Amino acid sequence: MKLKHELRRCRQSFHLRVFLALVLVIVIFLPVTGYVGYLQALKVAEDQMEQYTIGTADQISKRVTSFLAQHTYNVNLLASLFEKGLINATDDRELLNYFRLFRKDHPEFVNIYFGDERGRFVMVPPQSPEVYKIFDPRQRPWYRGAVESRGIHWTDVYLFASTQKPGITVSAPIYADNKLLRGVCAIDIDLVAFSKFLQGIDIGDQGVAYIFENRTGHLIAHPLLAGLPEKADKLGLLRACLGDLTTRKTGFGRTSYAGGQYFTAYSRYPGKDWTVGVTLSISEYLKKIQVIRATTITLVIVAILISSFLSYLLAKTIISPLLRLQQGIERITSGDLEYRVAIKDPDIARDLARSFNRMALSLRRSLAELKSTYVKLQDKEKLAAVGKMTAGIAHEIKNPLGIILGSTQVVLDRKRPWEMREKAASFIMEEVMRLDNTLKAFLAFAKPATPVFGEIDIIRLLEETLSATEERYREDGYLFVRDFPERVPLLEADPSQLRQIFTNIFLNSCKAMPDGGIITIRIRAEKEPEMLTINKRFISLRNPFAVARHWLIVSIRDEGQGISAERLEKIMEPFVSFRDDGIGLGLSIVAQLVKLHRGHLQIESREGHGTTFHIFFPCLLQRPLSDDEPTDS
Amino acid sequence: MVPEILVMIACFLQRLPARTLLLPLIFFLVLPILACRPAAEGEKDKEQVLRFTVIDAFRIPILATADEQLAHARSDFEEVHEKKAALKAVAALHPTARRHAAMAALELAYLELGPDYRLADSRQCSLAMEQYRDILDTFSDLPEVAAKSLWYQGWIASDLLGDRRCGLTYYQRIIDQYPNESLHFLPPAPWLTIHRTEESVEHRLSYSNPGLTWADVAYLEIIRYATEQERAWAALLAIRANHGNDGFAGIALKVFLTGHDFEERSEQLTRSYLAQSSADQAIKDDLQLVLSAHLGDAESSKETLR
Repeated sequence: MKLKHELRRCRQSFHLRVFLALVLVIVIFLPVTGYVGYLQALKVAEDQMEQYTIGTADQISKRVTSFLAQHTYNVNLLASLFEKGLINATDDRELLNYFRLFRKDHPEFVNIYFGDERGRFVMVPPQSPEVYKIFDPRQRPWYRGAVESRGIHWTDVYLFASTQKPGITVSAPIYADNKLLRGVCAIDIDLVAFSKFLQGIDIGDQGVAYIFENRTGHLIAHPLLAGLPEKADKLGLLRACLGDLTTRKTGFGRTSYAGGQYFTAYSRYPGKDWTVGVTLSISEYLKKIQVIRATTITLVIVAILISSFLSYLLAKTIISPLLRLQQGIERITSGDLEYRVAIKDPDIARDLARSFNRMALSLRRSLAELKSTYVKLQDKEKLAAVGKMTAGIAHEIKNPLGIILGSTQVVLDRKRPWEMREKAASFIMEEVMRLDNTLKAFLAFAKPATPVFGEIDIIRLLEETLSATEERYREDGYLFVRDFPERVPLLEADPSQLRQIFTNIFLNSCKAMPDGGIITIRIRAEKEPEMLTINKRFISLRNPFAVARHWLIVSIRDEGQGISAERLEKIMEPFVSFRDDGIGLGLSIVAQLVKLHRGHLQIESREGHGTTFHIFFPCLLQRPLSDDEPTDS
Repeated sequence: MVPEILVMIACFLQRLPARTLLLPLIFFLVLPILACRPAAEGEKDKEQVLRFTVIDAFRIPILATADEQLAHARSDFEEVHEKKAALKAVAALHPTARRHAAMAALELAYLELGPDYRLADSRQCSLAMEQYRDILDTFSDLPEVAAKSLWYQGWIASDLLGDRRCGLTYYQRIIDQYPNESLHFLPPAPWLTIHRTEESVEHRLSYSNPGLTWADVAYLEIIRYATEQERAWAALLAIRANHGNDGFAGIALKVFLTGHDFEERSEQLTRSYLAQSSADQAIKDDLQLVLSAHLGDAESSKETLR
């Protein structure tokens, strides 16, 4: 319940609503802007990565072409030297020397060799002897290929027996002047140079460039081949990429592998059954974008926090004048019409404060006029009341006087029997007593004593009042039920007049229950209680100048037959009584005394359901009642 | 529920003065900045760190297996001494892998002949011979190693030192002790393939697997260097018995014809080889040439050469 109350209160807070409205706009707008920016950056980066990958693969292809072209030139040069007779092919020693020199200039040449049509074979460095003994160059692919093509021949890639690294042989046929084949010269090229070149390309820690043979999938070049022997675990990614792109029949695309995203581009190497591949880790490549994302998130969070803080201050700035206005209204409401709101803020708030102050001034003038009018009205009412009272007094006096007159005549008539005269004298006595009571009541109503105010504890006063009369009432069958809180705010009141108020109401309640009954007395303190309810079951007398926020309410309820609506309207009027034994001034005096105490009187009644008197007294508070402070019992 | 909680928080904040909110605000500013910092550089790369050992003043990586260690030792080195250190490391770092140690030892012995054995002097040959002898003693339980060691000793003796008699002794020992030991040029190495089969393709040598034994090449050397015609003929017949008329038998026949006297039996053998349609044409051409030379048919030989 408390939470709901708190939530309702929060929802009604204008300050909160302004603050939340501003914050909501910020919370929605900033992240959306940041996210859209991030997505755009991501898209651009991915496009760049694709271009970069494809471009890198093409660059590698060109580099490979250039590398191979260089060796084509070398073997052509070698063949020309043979054909021009600058190298004597028949002299093994000369051949060996020349080959050694040639190899010294070209460390990438693994082997340089020459084979002729007779099966003679010269190679630098030498073959292992057991191979040399049985070796026939004419059976080798490099020899046959060169002879058949009658030009430059590139073999398939193979693994060198010595280094177990991929290599390739380029060979060229050597012809004599008569166009007869003299032999074939060839160069074995270590393709690790490719791997070293690929190793040097900066494509990230997880990126890899490689060349493989399409038919077999053999790795021709890969950074793995340039380093120390390693397990081929790293090839799983390349296998996944190849399988994926082959299935999709595309030359580039994304592949998921081991929880990561990779982008691969293949470039077919022209003239050979090779493919140049570049595989990049998207997450690694997009690391910069991730940094942008992290920065964006940070900035968005910081911006939200700062904006929220500023919104809070802004809302407070907007609300502050309104709060001061509210405070002013409360002060005006509490009767302090001299109060003025001081707002120095520019624009609307200052104008609002000026208007408010003008209104307060106008209100003060109106109130003065109203008071003056009220005094005049009271005078008129008094005159009317005097007339009414005179009629009432005349009515109240006329009957006793008639009885006194008749009884006096009986007393004076000596002819009458003594008993009759004695009885008439007692009538005169009774009527005189009645007249005395009537006049006392009249005096009490017409000129009530000026209240002497003091701080009163209403519970204590009620207990004192009841202690004097409760015993007597109890004997007549009346029971007083108390519904008092432990402590209530003090009142500023005249105790004797309060006692008279309560005594009159108790008396009225008892008379409403001739056979006895329960009278319930309830006390409660309330902040701005509802007093304006107009209902047929109510009659309310409000003091228009009684302004207070905190009220003490004493409710006295009987279980009598109640009062009809028609009678309820007249019940406060003087000399209006609905019983034979009343003069009709009791409740009028109560109403008058309540008014003297700046209070209200409200009577709630319905026929057959009893009557309740609610008396509202303005409180004297040591401290204000909080909104949620329970004062009710 | 969430908006209500936000309202509650906002309500709470509303009651606080701005000054009180400053510290939490700073905290919330610092927190995301710290949270959004990129990961530490050291964490992103967890590469395996190689350990090294020093052998003959060279840093040699310690690899996980003897295979890897041997492969590394066989790879290219700019410095021959570094290659030797790497080969020594095979036995030192993987003492239980005897076969690998033996292979490394064979290569070490071969390196004693220098970068080109054709230029090796007698001291280098002696050093190599000595090492091959040690290998034979140490790894006599590994027949392929022992056979190769014997053959190399024979080769150094006959080819490099010119001591044919000594060389033939070693070849004969191979025939006697290891008649069926296969000749492997090098242990097969796997190709790295990225085809989905994930099956390593056998090492494709630059020459096909000869299907030879060390005894076969020992017979060939006996044919080449035996001064006795009958001994050479017997060796040739032994090769024919094992290989029929294949390329190796053709080479053996060519060596016999060029190194020994021409006889009728050798002519018949040559003609029967030439009659084989499946025989290698280049060998057949050579044999025809030699045969023609022996028979004095110069015209025939010229025609064949064309």
